[in-house]
Amino acid sequence: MKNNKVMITLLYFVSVLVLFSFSGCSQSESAAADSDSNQDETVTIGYNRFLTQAFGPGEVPFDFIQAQVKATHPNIQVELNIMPDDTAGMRNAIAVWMNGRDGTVDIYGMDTPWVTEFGSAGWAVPLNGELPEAENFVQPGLETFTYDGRLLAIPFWGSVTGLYYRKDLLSEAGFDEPPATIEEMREMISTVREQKPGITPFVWPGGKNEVLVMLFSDFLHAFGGSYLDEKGQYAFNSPEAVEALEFMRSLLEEGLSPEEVKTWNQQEAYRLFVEGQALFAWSNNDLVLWLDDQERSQVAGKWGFAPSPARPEGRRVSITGGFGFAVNPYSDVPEAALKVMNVIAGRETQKNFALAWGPIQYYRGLYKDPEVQQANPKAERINALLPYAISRPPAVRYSQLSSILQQELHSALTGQQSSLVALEAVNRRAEGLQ
Amino acid sequence: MRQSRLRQGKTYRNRDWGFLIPAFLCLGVFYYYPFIQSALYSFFRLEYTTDWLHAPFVGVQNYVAVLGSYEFWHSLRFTALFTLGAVALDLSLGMLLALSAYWIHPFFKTLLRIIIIIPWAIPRVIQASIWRWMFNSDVGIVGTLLVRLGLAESPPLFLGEPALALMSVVMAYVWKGASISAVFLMAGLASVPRELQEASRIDGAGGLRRFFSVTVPVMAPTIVIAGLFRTRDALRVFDVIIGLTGGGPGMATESLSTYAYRIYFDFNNYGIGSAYAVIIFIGVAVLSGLYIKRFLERFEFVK
Repeated sequence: MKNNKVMITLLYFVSVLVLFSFSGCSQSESAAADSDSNQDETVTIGYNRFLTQAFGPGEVPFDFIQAQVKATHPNIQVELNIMPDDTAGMRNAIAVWMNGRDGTVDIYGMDTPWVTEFGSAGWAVPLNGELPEAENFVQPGLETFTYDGRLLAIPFWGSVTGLYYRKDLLSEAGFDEPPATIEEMREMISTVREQKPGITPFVWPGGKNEVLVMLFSDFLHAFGGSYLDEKGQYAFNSPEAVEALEFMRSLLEEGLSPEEVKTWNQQEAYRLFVEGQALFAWSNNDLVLWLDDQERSQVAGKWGFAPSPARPEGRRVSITGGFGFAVNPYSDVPEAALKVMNVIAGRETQKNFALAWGPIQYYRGLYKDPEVQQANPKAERINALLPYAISRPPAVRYSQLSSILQQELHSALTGQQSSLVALEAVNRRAEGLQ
Repeated sequence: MRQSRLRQGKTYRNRDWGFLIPAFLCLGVFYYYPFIQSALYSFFRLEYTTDWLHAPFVGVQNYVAVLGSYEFWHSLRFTALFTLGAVALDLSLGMLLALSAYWIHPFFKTLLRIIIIIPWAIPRVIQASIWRWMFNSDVGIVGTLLVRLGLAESPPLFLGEPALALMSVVMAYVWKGASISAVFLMAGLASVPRELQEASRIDGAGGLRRFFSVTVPVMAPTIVIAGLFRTRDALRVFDVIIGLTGGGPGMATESLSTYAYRIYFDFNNYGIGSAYAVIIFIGVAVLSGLYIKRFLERFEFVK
């Protein structure tokens, strides 16, 4: 009994000591950080682990940025705060920091659909006139990250979506060009299927995911629809939009796409194409870089990449994506952060992104550089899609709009409601966001 | 002498309070402070900011918006269905596991207990990823097994059909939950006097009769407490859904907690998100209160 009392008392004092030592540690650490700031400044970049990986002949982008900053600003240290790989997780972490007016990261990666939302919330320092290197970017790249006249981020990587096709199988079936119209695509599928009954005609990411919004945006335009009507109101319930969603459902009902697409994300969706078991796949330009690598792909030398097909009355489009770096308005070292941003916006860093990650970068004349051309022999295939590039649906609360679209589109795809009911619900709920 | 005893009693009382301080501090910082803050936020219009001092006061408008929304009632219906299914399976399987671990040959006892504990030690998100692969209709083991056993022609689309997705989420949840219940119930089983079992056996009672007439009544307080904890956890289900279905297909597996999370962190609407959280808190508290009143008062340890 006595021993128990001694133990309990001891435990009590240990727990109190632990609590005090934690608070003591954090105080002494912050004191140390304060004293350091007089000598060196540390700029922290928040981005996912891709910044520590190179997929081409370039250096690891983060190491390159560190070296460049060290060479030009010796008193600035650059650190990396590794954020979640998925964009939703990254966005949520940034939102938590911004709400807490937190300066954990001084520079962070901004996805293109966040621009309106972050701009209206004041979550990025306007960069107009702050970065001399920004003058060297082509305008479309900067416009993607501009909200209400304010440049919010400097792009460092971009993407477009398109249709991957099996050049060899189409050629064997007598088709020299990829499908330009939906009807041509259907014709190609039925002809190739006669010769190769085991082939999966068309794979696409139909899981409840942001990429489903991109896919629907593509088909919406392909069937002649648009995000907004002439009055600037959302037009997700237009007859063209209903037809587009019905087309997606018909792909499942007619067995042109496997039922499993309803659960697939982008990586799961292109797997069959990469393994040589699918005729068409819808995805972004990531695959272009490695689809000819025989170790990773069964279709090396047998594929092509083109804008998605459309109805004659519709429009062929490629949906854009990509990231830029923005400066946290609550950064403790805003001036140092801007200096680092100027290094990131510089030709050498942008060139290294092109060498390490491949297209798309928006620095003027970058793709005329022989080294960049040599490292990106497939850049032409991607550049061919740029004239078709359009953004995702406009919204001040994009994440909310995206969530609504994901819920309702996926409900329709999984047969929980009709296409018309789903799209009426999208429009009604989206109007409530305006 | 009397004064000295009084002083001693006072010292003990002071020391008892001292022991409670760390617990109160932790509860205050991690539970009560966030709850009070959420309750405060729920009366303000807070979008993209939590600066309530400069935000418009909207009274109960956020509560009206939540209670009037389709998403709330939809996620409430799913959460209720999920809780019913998950708790019933959780306790039944937990009891089976506990009985096996108790009555099994001593040689296998430790091994079985380790097997029971392992799912408990795996974090929910990792567990959800494991199950996501197991339910994958292309390469998942569950679909393949069903086909090989002749129970299905092709692997079912577990995560793409609403009813199957609900069942999949319940199964993944129960896999871990049953082991938690089993640990509770094993402790309860240990409290069943062997003499009672022996006496009923001598009286001619069979295995099932002994279980329902002797074991269950003696274990009733433990079963009720396990049920209370498992119900509370099931009502707040979050990570297994995020990891397995993401709330899909459509909104079919969106729970109260996952939707509250979306309002908070995807939509950054802290006013409505807080109202949502307060409503969930009140709902869980009322249910738990009724549960305690209905069942626990029957047992001796509630005075």
